[in-house]
Order: sequence, then C-alpha cells, then structure tokens
Amino acid sequence: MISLRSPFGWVLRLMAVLTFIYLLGPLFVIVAASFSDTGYLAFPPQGFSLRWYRQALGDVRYLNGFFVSLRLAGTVAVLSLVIGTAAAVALTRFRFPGRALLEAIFLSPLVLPGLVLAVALTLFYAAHPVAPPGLPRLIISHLLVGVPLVLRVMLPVLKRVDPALEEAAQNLGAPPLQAFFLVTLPALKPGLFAAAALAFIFSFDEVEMALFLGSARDAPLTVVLYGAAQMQMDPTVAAVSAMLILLALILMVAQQAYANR
Amino acid sequence: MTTVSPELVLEGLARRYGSTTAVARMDLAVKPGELVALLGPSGCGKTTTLRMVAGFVEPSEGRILLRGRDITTMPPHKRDTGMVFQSYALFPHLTVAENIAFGLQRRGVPKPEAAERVARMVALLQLQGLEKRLPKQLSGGQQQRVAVGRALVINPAVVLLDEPFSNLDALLREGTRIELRRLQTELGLTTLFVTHDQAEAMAISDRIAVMNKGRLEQLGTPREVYDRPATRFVASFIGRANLFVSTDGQHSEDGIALGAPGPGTWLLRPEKIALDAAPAAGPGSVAGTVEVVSFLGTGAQAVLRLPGGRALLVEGPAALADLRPGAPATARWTRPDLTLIPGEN
Amino acid sequence: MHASARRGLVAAGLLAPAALVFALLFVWPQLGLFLQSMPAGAPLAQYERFLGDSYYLGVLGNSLLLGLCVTLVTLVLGFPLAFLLARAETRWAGLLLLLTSFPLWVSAVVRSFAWMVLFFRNGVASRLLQSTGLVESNFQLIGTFAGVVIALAQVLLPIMIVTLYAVIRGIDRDLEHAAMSLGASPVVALWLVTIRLARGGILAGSLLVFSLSVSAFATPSLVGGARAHFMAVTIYEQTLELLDWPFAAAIAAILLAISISVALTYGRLLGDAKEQAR
Ligand SMILES: Nc1ncnc2c1ncn2[C@@H]1O[C@H](COP(=O)(O)OP(=O)(O)OP(=O)(O)O)[C@@H](O)[C@H]1O
Ligand SMILES: [Mg+2]
Repeated sequence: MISLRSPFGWVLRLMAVLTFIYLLGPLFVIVAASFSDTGYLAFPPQGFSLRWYRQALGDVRYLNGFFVSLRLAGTVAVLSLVIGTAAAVALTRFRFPGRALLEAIFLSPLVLPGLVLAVALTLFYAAHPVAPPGLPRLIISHLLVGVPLVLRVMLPVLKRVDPALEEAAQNLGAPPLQAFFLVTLPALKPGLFAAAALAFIFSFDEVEMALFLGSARDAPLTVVLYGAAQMQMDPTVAAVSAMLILLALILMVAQQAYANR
Repeated sequence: MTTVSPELVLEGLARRYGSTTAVARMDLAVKPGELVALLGPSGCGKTTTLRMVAGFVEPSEGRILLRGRDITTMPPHKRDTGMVFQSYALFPHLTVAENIAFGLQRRGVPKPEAAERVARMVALLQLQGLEKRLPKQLSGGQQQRVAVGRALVINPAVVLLDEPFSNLDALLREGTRIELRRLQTELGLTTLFVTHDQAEAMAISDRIAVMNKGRLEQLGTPREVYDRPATRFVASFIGRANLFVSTDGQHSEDGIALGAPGPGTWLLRPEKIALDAAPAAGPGSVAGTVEVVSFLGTGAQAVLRLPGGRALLVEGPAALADLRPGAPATARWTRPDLTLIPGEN
Repeated sequence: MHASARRGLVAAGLLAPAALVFALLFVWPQLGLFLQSMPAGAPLAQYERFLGDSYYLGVLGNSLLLGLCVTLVTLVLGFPLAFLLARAETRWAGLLLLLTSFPLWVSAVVRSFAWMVLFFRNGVASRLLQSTGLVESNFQLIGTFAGVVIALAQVLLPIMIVTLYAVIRGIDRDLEHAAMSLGASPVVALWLVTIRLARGGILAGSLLVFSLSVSAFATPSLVGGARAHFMAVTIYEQTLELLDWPFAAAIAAILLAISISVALTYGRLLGDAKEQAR
C-alpha cells in the first residue's frame, strides 16, 4: 500500500482533513450559531441561549411545516416501500423477456434533475388534475423518486437472498405466499429498513417538487425554510436547521445500528 | 418373486428448455426404502429431474406418480417430498430447532409432538446442544446435518438430495455419506440422490441411474453397472476402462490379439490385466513399453504403451510400482475378463 | 402450462403499481413537457427564443460553467479522501465514510443556509476575504458565482466521494504493491496504476456531479441570491412567477436533454469501470 508515512502520504492526509472540515464544517457552524445569544446570526456564537429554539418551536409555520413533512415523508416511505419492493420481487424472482431493460427504465427517474420532474408534473396536473392539490398531489409525485430509490436498495438485497430458501419452505409445506412471508421477508428486513429510511429522508428533504406542487396551506418544512432563508438571516432558521441536522443524525445512526445488528 | 409396488414412478418424464433437452423421456421406478442415485456428468439433467419430482420444474411431457398418486401438476407444498438442497437453504433467521420444526408446523403437528420429533431428530443427527444456534453459527458439516434433519423429520414419501455433500471436505464427506446411508436404511426412506461422483454413487446406493445428455443410459445395482455396463459411456464413466472394437473377435481394430468370443465393443477393466516380462504369446496378450507407473497406496497403476500407439491402463498390487518406465512388459488377460458392451452394436 | 401462466399473472400484478407510477408520473408528464414546449403553429419558436437571446444563452453558459467548476472542485478534493478511506485499514474508516455521507441525509436547503451564514457580509468567510484586503470592506460572497461554486461543491462532494470510494475499493491494492516493487515511487504508482484503473469511475463520478450541478436549484437560488442566472432558477421563475409555461417547458426540455445525454454516457462508463476493475 502507498505508505501513509511518506511525505506524499502526509500531503494526502492533510488534503483529506481539510476536505473533511469543508464537508462537515458548515453543519457545525449552523448548529453553533443557533445557540448564539445575539439578535442576528453570529459565528462564532456570542453567549449561549436557547431562545431561538423557543421561538422556532413557538412558530406555527415551522410546527405546521414539520408535521406536514412528517406526514408526507411517512406516507411516501410506506407507499414507496410496498410498491418498490413488489416490483423488485417481480424483477428478481421471475424470468421474463426485457427484465433488465425494465429495471433500467424504472431506475431512470433517479438520474434526471428534480426540477425538470417538478415542472413536468406541474404542467401535467394543470391539464389533468388526477390528484387533489396540496399534500396528496405531493405524496404521489414523490413516489416517482421514492419507488426507484427503494428499487435501487432492494434489487441487490433480493439478488443476494438464495431463491432456494423459498423453495425449501414450499418443499416443507408452505404455500408460495406464506413461503415468501416466512422466509424471504425476514431476510430482507435490514434492506427494507434502509430503503424506507432513504425514501423517508428523500421526501422529507426534497424541495423542488414541494415548491412547485405543494399548497401554501400545507407547505412542508423545507418550503417554509426555503422561504424564510430567502427573506431574512434569522437565527430561528438556524435553530430549525440544527434540529433537522439532529433528526438526520438520529435516522442515520438508527439505520446503521439496525443494519449492523 | 413378489413384486413390491414402487413408491415413486417417473413415466416418460421429459423437460425441454427451448431447443435444449434437459431431460429426455425418462422412465424410473423407485421401490419403497430404496436409495437410487442419479449419476452423470455436469449438465446431464440430474437436478432438473429432481426438481421435477419436487415440483419446482414443470415437466414438458410425462407423469410423476408418488405412492400411486399422480402428482405431475401438484404444487410443491402439497407434494410429500423432503428435499435437501445443495446450498442447504437453511433459514438464516431461525435456530436449528426452528429450522427442523418448520415442516411440522406447516403440517399442523401439535406443539408437544413436534418438539418431541425435533428432539429425536436432533439426537439422531448428533446435534445436541446446538438447538438454539443460528445456521451461520454452525460448521459446514453441522449445517448439512440440519438440512438433512429438516427434510427427514416430516417423514416424506420420498427424500430428494441434490449433491448434499459437495460443500464438505473429502474426509467429512465420506463419514457423512456413511451416516446418511445408515439413517436411510434404518428409517426405510425412499430416496432419490443426485451426484456426479461415481465413487459416492457406488458407495451409497441400492441402484444407480446413469444419465448422459438428458437420457437414462442404464439403471442397475452398483455391481451391474460396473460389471455389465450397457453402453460405452457407462463403461468409461463408472470406473476406468480399456475399450476395444473388434469386427471378428480375434483382433481389435488396432491390431491387438484380443481373443474375444465374437465381434463387438469389448471392455477390459484395468485390474483384470496381469503384467509380466515373458514375450507375448497368442490371443489375450500384448507386449508394450511401460510409460508411467504410480503408487496408489492400496495398489499401483501402470500405463503400457502398445506398438499400435494406444495406451493400456493396468491396475494391480503395489509391486507394480517397481516397474521402471521404459522397460518392456507384456499384458495378459483371459476370455472371461472381457465384457461385451451391448449398447454399441 | 397452467402454473406458469399463473406465475406470469403474479409477476404482472407485482409490477403493475410501479409501472403505473412510472407511466403516469414520468412518461406522460415528460411527453407533455415536450408537447407544451412546441405549441402548434410555431413548434420551434420557444427554442429559437432561448437560443437567440444572449441573456438566456448566458444563463446556459453560466450553468455549464458552474457544472465544470463544481466537478473540478469535488474531484480534486474528493479523490484524496476517497483514496484514503478506501485504502485505510483502521476500524475508523467505516465511521469516517459514514460521516462523509452524512450531509446527504440533510436537506440541501439547510446545507445552503449554512453557507449563507458564512457568506453574509458579516459571515466568517466573507470577513476572512475582507481582511486580506483583496476585496472591498463591504464585500460578501453571497450572490457571487464563486460563492455558489463553493457551496454547491460541498453539497455534491459526498456523492463524488462515495462513487470514487466504490471504484477505488474495486482496484486490487496488490497492483500498487507490484508497481512499487518494480521500482515506481508512490506518486508514480498512484498515477500509473490507481488513477489509470479508476479512470472510468472518475469520469462517471464527474459526469454525475456535472449533471447534478447544471440542474441544481436550491443552492444556486439561495446562495446565488436574486441575481442567480442559472438554468433551474430560470425555469422556476418562468413557471411560477412569469407563468410562461411553453417557454419554461422548452428550457426544461433543454436541461433534460443535457441530463439524459450525460446519464447515458455515465451508465456506459460505470459499466466499463466495473468491467475494468475486475
Ligand atoms: N432454467 C433453465 N433454463 C434453460 N436451461 C436450463 C435451465 N435449467 C437447466 N437447464 C439446462 O438443462 C440441462 C440440465 O441441467 P441440470 O441442472 O439438470 O444439470 P445437472 O445434471 O444437475 O448438472 P450439474 O452436475 O452441473 O448440477 C443443462 O444443459 C442446463 O443448461
Ligand atoms: Mg445439478
């Protein structure tokens, strides 16, 4: 291996450390600034106070946005998980012509810009109001990315599960559906959790479709934040951001803990 | 001779994938308590045959009868077969005891009875103390025994094994196959056993079904297929073979004084040949040059290069290994040592 | 034959909801987008308007330049970190990789806001620049092209690192050993072996980041401020503020065309990279 003790190794290391600071520093800055006792956003923070948290938690826009986002992301995660996993099972457990092509097609929304998807959907709903505006419309729109995300996680997981497991269960007397639920599903659990977490976090964090398709009445938290960040450099925005960072951290740790059990 | 009605019958069973024929119109009857090995080279259709019996592959033609019932179109979970998979397919989230109990639960066997049957199986397979372990906490040999136990505990009408020993090392493999044979005879299990290892098939089965390119070439006891192979393929796949084609019986096509009773394809097993230093004299003898000798422990093997260019394989006592390569030697055999292969005429 | 027909039905049933989502929310709206961008009578008018106007061409150029700069920054910063993470033998490597990808769990809005805090007139980054005397005392990075590059590169850096990490992990490290045992210095070994073999992956990661930055919305619009002349921001204005849908559709179609061509190249390259790493 390239020796990390050589001068060259040290250069690499130094660059890596700087990159790390660049990567995570801003998140740290925002958390620190949220505790500042000043009336404006200050970094390094001056004093220590929780008043911006109090203010944020008392602000109905943020609270409402948070619960809208929670409902949105929760529903999207569950629906994406069911639809995506069903498709992943069909794509891995059944043989039919064009299977590989279908797989690539289903994953394609992931490589296209979110904003283009959002514009196309805006025009589409204007012409064909297939879903009521606001949250329902946003939920089904997020499926467009949520389902491929679940597929991308579940396809390799399913490919790793020995198909003989289900056959063994059938051989021992379990009807096909029961065999799936008794032996394949438990083997998929860590993957299902990761997939759901990914779909949840996508939907919770997404802003383009939310801006285009959400209604003002139930605007998700990212839209509220986007608006607030544009308006003023308000420390409450930092407090809300810090809480979102904490939420992300909890989710990531939970997902890792579950995967490494 | 009383006829026992067979437990498992395959009638003209065939399976095609597009233009390839995996199994071609196969007829086979397995008697109660009998172990039949499906033996053949890779790709000859063994697994396909086994999976048709288990219900995972739909036959293109033919019927499968189990205990007199036609199960050809019955879904796998309703057939009464117990399969041991090559990969074992142990349920990774269930313990050893739960794996073994799986089939009993599906059959609605009451809890106390199920627990008792699991315990008996655990004892029979010497898995005591491992009941609470997960499959990944077991050695390969232990996993293999759990897979066998899980298939046997439900008392299936027929046990199906697909190369169950292929993931074990050579030493363990021999011990395990003796164990399996003991268990199978003790419990009187009707068994279909897939292997591509002829020594394994010889050691374990009542009868061997030798397959080649999807066709059943010969069905017989290990002795029968060894001593009286029906085809050239069987002769060379089971044991080692020196084969001679002769139009008059006197000489083979390549000019060796065969001394056979008539025309045909003749098999001369290497262990039937004697080597000495005297010159060749008449039918049943040929002089050549020793090319390679190898000492095998229980005996030795020599390759004799004959004047026509062909090589003759000879097996005999360990003393054979004392021959020096390059030395002249004469191979001898008698008429009864030659076996006619009927399938080749 | 009965059983296989039933299996086919089951497979179709499992695929149906995903296919419906795809057809209803993807195929149909995207086709609609193209149709809207080409109104009857003057099908190419919107495209001519975009391509004939130096302002919009400037927006396109700006976005492409942004993509180029961000790709370069993420590549230069990402490779050393990805390399060290891929080659590290400590238990920490896993944790560090996790931390590297952590920003992906945080909304781009939050991450962009963090940069706004730093880039404001009184923000640390802006003050740092002011103190060098290179810029005026009321200079702020917010609203500048450089600011957008710095912020967007940080937002997309984890994606670059994760892609590079996977590719470097796939390269047998014995190849580096072999090169060095044959007399190559570490730098030469890295250049001749690792970077050579990672070429496909490096290109694939670059294309992905390029495509994402050309079409990025939240960061350019927040950090770039009111005068952010980027493709996605322009589409947003045309759609929601000016309500000129045919024109918005045309710009979106152009952006889509860029993304698709990049994605197709990306897919082919990643396939090649996997092939090579074997
Ligand atoms: N699902 C399938 N689709 C197409 N061809 C198949 C399929 N399953 C088996 N085959 C073909 O059928 C033939 C027999 O395969 P089978 O698996 O039964 O062989 P086998 O005797 O078990 O070989 P091995 O010892 O290698 O396991 C092979 O030529 C194989 O390629
Ligand atoms: Mg096989």
